[in-house]
Amino acid sequence: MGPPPPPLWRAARLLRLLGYVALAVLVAFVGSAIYFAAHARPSIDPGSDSAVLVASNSTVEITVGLNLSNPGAYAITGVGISAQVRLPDGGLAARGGSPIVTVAPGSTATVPVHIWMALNAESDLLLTHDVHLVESFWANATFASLFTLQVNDTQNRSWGAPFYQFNATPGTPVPEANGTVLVPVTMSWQDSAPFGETGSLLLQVLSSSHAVCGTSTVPVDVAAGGPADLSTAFYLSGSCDPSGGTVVATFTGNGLDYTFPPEAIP
Amino acid sequence: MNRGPVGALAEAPRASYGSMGPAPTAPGRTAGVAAWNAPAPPEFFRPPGGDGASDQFPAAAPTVRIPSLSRRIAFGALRLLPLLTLYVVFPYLGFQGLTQYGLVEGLPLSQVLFFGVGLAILSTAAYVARPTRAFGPLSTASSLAKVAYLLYFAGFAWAAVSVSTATVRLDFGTLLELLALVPAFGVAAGVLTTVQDVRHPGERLRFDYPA
Repeated sequence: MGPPPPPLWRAARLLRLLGYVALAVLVAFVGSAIYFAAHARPSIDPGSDSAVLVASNSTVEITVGLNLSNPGAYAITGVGISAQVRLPDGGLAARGGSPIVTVAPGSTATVPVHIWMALNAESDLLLTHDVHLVESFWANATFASLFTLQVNDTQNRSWGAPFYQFNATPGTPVPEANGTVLVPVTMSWQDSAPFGETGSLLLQVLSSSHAVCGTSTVPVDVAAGGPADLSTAFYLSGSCDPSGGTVVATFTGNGLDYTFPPEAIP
Repeated sequence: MNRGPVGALAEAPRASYGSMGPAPTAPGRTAGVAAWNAPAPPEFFRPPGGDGASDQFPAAAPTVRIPSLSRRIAFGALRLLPLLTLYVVFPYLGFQGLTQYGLVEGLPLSQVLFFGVGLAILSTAAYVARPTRAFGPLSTASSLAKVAYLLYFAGFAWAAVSVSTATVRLDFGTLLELLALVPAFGVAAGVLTTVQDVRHPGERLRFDYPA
């Protein structure tokens, strides 16, 4: 029987063996991580798709829930989504995203995605014009701390304006026998947005010198996708000449405060 | 004369260690096996138990069986083939296959192939030099090169594919960083071998090349 191997030789051999063991463990780990990652399934939460008009800041909040099932033995970490919506001219119309979520092994987690769309961006284009928006999102997920998957997609989305083709049309002022002046105003638009409009429309008749000749408030209750046809009339005193003036409409309701561009009185 | 335990083999002549002289093996037992060293000192063949043990363990009994340089080169050349396959052919075919499926790789193919050839050659050089004191530094350098190779390319380790309007990108740099642990063990082993060869030249040969 030979002499025992010297300690340095044994240590070196042990280290080389440990290298092979580490390789085997890594191969098994990576193989299982790939297998389990291939079985992870994302899906849209069917009950979470909604569009809500947020109060007080004229911003639409769109919420989408993304379900991610992880049947594997390793956690899916760093799951996060960010999104941007741009106008046809490239201007930023909306942005949002999700918090960073970890999907534990053998579980399903919902990644809530919130996108805020400022309706008064870009000269109120989104309020009165149906446009095609460019929607982009970026999603990240890290499987077993080994592989990071990044997905980004860009798609065109059509946007329906809540006051599509809004018109406030003043009629010709008619002098009345009692010295007042009658100004009829008709208003029409199409609510193409995915949410209804409940509130009131304040109409102001301004003289050519911007003095307020009269005001009228019209209640508004238009269902999503429905048309709006409203009319009102002003009896103005003879001291206030609306000719050459303007009609200014301001909508107030379900979180949206918006003053439409003035319409000229003939 | 009692030359002490096995560790005393360190007293083997250092001057001849790095040479490729005759093998310290007994004729007949090593037919066809070439030498690596100057004629081995008696200690090299001494079985445990001191001089008195030579009666029970014939002096002709070899303790090492070192392949000749030409044989090591031949085997090294054969060993080079799977290494080149691992470091060059597989990456090349992988790149080609992924490109066919529309995948874009972050890894620079030319650098991968270039460094792959270097790794294969370095590993082969360490194999050929195993019976010499150059083995420790060469195996350390080979393992260090693998660590550097993996860590360097970890920065480029991504693949991307476009599907319709979407782009999917997979980053696997962490995988390469973890894989760098494997040759890191080899670096430590190479350092230990280098230290052993400096402190006790030739000591490991009877265990690396047992007869």
